[in-house]
Amino acid sequence: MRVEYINPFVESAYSIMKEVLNTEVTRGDLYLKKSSQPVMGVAAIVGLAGDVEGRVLFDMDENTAIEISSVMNAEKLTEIDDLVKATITELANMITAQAVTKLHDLGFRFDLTPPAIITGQNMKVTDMNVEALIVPFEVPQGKVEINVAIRERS
Amino acid sequence: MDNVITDIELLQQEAKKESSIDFKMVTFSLAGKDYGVDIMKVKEISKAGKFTFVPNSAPYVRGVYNLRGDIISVIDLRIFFNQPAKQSGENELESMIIVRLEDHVIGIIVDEIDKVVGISSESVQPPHPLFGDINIKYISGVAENNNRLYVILDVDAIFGTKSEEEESVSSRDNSASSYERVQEEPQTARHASDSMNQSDRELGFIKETLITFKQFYTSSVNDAWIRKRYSQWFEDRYNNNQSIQLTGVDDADSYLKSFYSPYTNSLWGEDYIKTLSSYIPQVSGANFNVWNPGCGKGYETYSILTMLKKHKSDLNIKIHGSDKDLISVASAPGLIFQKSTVPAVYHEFMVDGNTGMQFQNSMKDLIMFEFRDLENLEVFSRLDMVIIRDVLSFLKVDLQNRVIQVILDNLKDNGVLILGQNERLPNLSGWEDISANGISAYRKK
Repeated sequence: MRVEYINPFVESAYSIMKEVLNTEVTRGDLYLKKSSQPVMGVAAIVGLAGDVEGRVLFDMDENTAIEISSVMNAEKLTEIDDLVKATITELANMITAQAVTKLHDLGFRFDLTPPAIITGQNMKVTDMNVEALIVPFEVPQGKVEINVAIRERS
Repeated sequence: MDNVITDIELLQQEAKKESSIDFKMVTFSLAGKDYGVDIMKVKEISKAGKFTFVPNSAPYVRGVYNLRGDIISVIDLRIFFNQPAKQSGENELESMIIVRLEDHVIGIIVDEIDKVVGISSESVQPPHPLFGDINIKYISGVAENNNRLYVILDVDAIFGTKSEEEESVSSRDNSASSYERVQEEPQTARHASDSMNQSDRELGFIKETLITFKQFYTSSVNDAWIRKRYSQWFEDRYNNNQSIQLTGVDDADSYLKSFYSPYTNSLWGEDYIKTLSSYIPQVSGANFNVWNPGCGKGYETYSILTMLKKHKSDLNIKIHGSDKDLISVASAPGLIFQKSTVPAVYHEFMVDGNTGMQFQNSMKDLIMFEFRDLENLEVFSRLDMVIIRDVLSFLKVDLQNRVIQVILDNLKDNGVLILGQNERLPNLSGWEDISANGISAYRKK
């Protein structure tokens, strides 16, 4: 993955989560992975197109999704309902959009697709022929992993 | 569905079995095979030598030994089991396991003491009657741990004063005579092979410590160098009265000091650019693609680009520099040089800034720096040249081979691969060796 792409995603994820959750956010070490990776339970996916092709996945377990949505909506939510799904989708949209804005400032042209949300147990994600960058974040509500798999359009 | 449940149950049972460690054994090797003895029988382990010879004893009795005031008899288990035993030098210490039997203590000499392994006694399986090397009545079972199979010896059966002892001694006599026959080899030949084994062993330890301290993996890629280096190293350390073995990262660094290719972590000098430029392959199209894995901070990648600009300026050059060290590779696109350290050949491609010199943007646009792990190899666009100096040696051996295969698959015909100056391709199928002038280079056939 091209090094210029990495920081915009890390920075915008950090600053947006810090802002909307109004709390401390700790980032773990970045690493690369290619084989299938388990998905924790709630995953929002945003497609990227333009100079590159690929996708960004925001992954957390159900409990974390409910807790984060509760904070963002300022009300206590208890199950994965439409509001939770919409909230997590919005979070994914905000982070990706800010990253793409930063990339645009650096001279890279990226387009976004509308986010989709996937929920369920025992899921895995596999990207053929492209390495995924994993950015793990720790917030008081739980663990959020941002999984970026993009490559240059050849 | 039923199947799934039983599978899970089986797994759980297995996990439970693994977790209940109730049998520990001291493991050791004899003639390259792994054995274990019940730790409850072991009093201690030690290195010992200079045993006092006892005349007219069985050949497997090495003599007696003074263990802090207690006289114990010492038995060479290799001779006892009719295994090849290396001759040890006068003052050399050997590995000894001291076992406690019902009424006496005895020392047994083995090749090498390994470690303590804990297993579940349920996982010990009875010996198979086909075991050839060692008489089956001395084996209490066989256990697997961490993909190694250990033969568990029954110490009481071997050395105990049970009624079988007479029998076992008489069967030993046969083996003793065969051992003596082995001994009749010419003395000189054995000495030569012994000293070679000794240095092989020393070198083996060095190789292992290089993995520990520097993640440097020896394989046929660098074996020739590591052997050559060892004789030099041995001489230096021996003359300075220092330990041959690498005791820390500093030692490992000084061992590898002469391994690295010229201009590691700096811009290549004009001489090196000139030498290497003769290896640039001729291409028919207008594009020239280069892959530079392990680019680190980017010095090498910028050097390659400058070399190509000098000698192939008419082509569309594209270089992929990749590294799995994010901190290094992230700083590569904005790398700043002090003017005094930049050879003149680079000046025409660089601009002066407030803090130092940088490459022009038109140059940087030709390089794509990537955060990438060679573990996850991807398919590339077709490559004309791959420059991977001193990278393979720091990958695990199976990964080295995978990387070489991917390079072969992705290079165009007549494409060129450059390795580190002390690295060689282990297998030339598909390649033509064009190394010369201290550069390891290969052309795809």
